[in-house]
Amino acid sequence: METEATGEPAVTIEMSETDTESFEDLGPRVAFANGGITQAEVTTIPSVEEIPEGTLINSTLDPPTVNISSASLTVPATSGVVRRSIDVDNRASEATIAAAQMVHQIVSTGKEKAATWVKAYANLDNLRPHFDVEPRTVVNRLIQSFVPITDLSSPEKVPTELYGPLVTSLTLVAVLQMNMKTSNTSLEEATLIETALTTCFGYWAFLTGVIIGLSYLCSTYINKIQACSIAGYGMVSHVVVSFLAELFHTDRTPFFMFWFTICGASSARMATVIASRTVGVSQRILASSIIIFIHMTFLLYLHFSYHHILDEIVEVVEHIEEALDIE
Amino acid sequence: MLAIETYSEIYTGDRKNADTPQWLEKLKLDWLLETDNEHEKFDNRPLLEELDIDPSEIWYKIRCILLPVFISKWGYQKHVLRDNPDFWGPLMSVTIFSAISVWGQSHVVGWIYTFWFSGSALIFGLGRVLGGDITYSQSLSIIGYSLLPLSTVCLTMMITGSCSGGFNFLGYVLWIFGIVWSSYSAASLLVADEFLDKKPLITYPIILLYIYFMHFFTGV
Repeated sequence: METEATGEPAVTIEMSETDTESFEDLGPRVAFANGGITQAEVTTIPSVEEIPEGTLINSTLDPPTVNISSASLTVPATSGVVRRSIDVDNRASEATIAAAQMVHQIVSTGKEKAATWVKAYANLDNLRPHFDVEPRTVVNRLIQSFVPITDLSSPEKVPTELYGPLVTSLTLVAVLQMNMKTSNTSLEEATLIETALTTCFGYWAFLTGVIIGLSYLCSTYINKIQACSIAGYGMVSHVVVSFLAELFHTDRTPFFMFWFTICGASSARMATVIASRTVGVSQRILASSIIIFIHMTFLLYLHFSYHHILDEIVEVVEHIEEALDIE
Repeated sequence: MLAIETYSEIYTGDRKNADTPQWLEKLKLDWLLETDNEHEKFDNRPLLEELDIDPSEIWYKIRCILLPVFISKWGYQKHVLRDNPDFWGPLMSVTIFSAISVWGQSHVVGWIYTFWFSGSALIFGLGRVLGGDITYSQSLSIIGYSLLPLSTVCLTMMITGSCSGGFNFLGYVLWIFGIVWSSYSAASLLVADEFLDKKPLITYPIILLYIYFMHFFTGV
């Protein structure tokens, strides 16, 4: 491309958005050509070096006209004047662009934050169907978690509610912590609350995963939320047995009795619900036996790991009994 | 030109220094001697006002929390706690409870603050999904203030020596009384009229939260 005035080759300056050099450092031509003005709209100016000597000094030609989008600027023949006027306008346009960019950034950041909050509130509303229950319904489900079903011919209805399971897990955390304190459990590299939280919520997640895995292997008709709900309600037996074991903690016998009856009933409930939604006898047996085994073993683990019998109390009671016998 | 105009608009007014020499103004360099006096206005405000702390309001709320049953009969407006939640009062309450619980277990402080924030978030979430219209700041404020009854009971347990190991009937009674007192204070404020029928569903997690706090006092 050649300028109309001189016929000399024009200076074409191309800068990408990633260039970080200041336009002023590169000279006014660069600043002028890239100062937020579309390059296509800029009439290029011949470089001073490229203009023949005679032409520059004794120029009788019309000065080149520069069009800057809305503003029109007439560049005089003297190069010094061109440089100064371009500098001023270039700074002004740079400031305008910077201000616009800043406003845009502030607005976009605000929008993003608002969107995040709206999204969080919307997510809470998405959870509402799983938590919005009546107190009576929760109590009924808690009681039913100990009652095995007898009719396996039709699939048992499984709720997709999560309030009960969540609160059950939180209760188990509190009871387990109480057990740990009663038995003077000391952990070297963890706190009691940390261990209780990890154990209870970890087991809930693990049992849910097992049920989902079994449903995949045994073709059980159950979704993830239902699996989560079954596992959570199953933990009610652990809460009850752990609490009762706390009250009768001087002997193992009451614990085993509670374990066999209460935890057994709860495991049977879970197993029968899963079995009722599974097609095929061998698949039913496999799924049920695995769930019963895991569920009952975990209560044994909880008891023997975190609920030690107070040997001192036992010894004191034995001494008292011996003393009474002697007398 | 816009940039220059904006610049001159900003650096005028109170910032001008009266002792600026004329020659510096002629050279357009008078801005070098300008001073920013804006912050002095804020410096003169009292610290409590600057931090938005109102001790009389905090004291009012503390009385409402400590006497949740009788306070309404004496003309106190309990709902102020829900309608006008603040941060510094609950923070003070949680700090007092931490200070009481910290003896021999410095790491409990972190757990108390963590459970205050996360427990309030849980209560807020449950309240929302159960149909309530509570905000996180309300939950944080009420749960924090309601630790004061628990602090009072813990202090009593320390004085009477009923928090020591082994079976202690007085300790158990105080333990349960503290949890009931705190839970009642919090639940009576957090459960609004719109989901009164679901009060047990929001009250039970609150009770559990204060059981955790009591566990922190007896050993984390």
